[in-house]
Amino acid sequence: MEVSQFINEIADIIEADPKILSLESDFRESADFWSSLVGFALLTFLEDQCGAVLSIDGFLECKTVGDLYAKAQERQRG
Amino acid sequence: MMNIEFETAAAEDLRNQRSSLKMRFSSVGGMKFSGVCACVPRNEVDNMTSGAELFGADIENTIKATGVRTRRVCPPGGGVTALDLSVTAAKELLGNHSISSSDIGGVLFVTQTPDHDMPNNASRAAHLLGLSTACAATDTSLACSGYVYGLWLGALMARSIEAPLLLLAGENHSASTSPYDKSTALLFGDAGTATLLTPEGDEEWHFGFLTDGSQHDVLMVPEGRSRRPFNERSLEYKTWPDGGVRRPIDIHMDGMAVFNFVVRNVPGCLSSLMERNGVAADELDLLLLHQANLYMMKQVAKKLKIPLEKMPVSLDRYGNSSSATIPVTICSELQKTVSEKPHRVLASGFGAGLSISAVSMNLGPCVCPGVIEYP
Repeated sequence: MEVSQFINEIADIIEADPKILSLESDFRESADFWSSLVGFALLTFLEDQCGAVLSIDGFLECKTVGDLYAKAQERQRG
Repeated sequence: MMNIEFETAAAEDLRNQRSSLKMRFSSVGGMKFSGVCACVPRNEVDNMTSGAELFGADIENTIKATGVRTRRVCPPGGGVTALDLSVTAAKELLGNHSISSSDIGGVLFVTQTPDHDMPNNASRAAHLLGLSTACAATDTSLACSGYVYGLWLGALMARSIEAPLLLLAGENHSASTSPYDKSTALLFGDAGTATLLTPEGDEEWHFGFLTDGSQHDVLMVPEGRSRRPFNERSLEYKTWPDGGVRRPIDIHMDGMAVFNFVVRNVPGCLSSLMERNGVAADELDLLLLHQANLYMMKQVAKKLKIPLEKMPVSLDRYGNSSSATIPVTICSELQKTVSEKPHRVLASGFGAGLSISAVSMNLGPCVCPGVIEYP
């Protein structure tokens, strides 16, 4: 998945404007509203679309969109 | 920036993955959706006010997350039930329709909050509506997937008895919702609806169903029936392992488990149903989803690549009335348009069971008096 598509997917899930979202964006702060459902939707996306199964602790360590992307990359590298 | 491709076999499988749970399909021909009406309690609860103490500073975020700003609830302590609301809707519908009560050959009542364990709601409804004793009347117990199941069962009944049938779908879940449980306190509204199904024409309705009873306990009322009978402790509020404060006879919902089931299965089910019947997403006029949670509904629509403008929402004003939400949404959001012209519709209910039901059908033109209030 290309970076731009990854950002668009994240923007869709957190209901943010993809034009202003970047890898540096804090995804919790950027969300239209933050809730456990939104967090869960991100985990589901990372697992289903990127093959990255995150623990809750692993997810809580992530602050930015780039952190999520890095987690997805780690899975790809094996 | 580097472009990273996730082209491992695992990722590819995941991208192409549909639900691993299997569906059952059924088609029923020669049916017409002739009319629909909804009735809600006059009593309106504002979630900003009612949830302020429980949620504190989080109340606005919580309302945004669920999508429910106000909901209609029956007066606490009994006196107004789903039967009352549904019969009132039916009287309004029949009063506006050319079909009279003497023509009705069947009543199917979808509810999980009947007036009594015995007798069923449908028999009483048939009497209150002045129907002939030559009437097949039965209840079916399903929650959020109930209305589409009702369309299916009602269609089969109507075709078999060769007579119009009233599908009544109503709930008053507010009576079994704890005001101290954050997962459910602001969610449920009450409503009763009536839909008139007539065996005529040559349209085909295409249904799909999925049932996962392994997750029966993620959305349930634990106590009060045969498995755990009502006892002296059933009315005691206590704190449960999930942190919720409720009575054993109150609705328990594991929101995450339900969300997981819905987002992982509903889009795939609907895609399968459309594919099976040669319907493309861009051919649909409307996506009618059970009004469970606004964020969840949006996620389903997005996964199906259906524009949100085609997904009407009534949840914000009427709450989640379980099996009644789809007809409430038709009546509140689509009254004028379904009265005038046909629409290509994909409708789906999902919830307790766990259960998914879906139908691809034409809706309208039909008689639609809209939403009325009780009393």
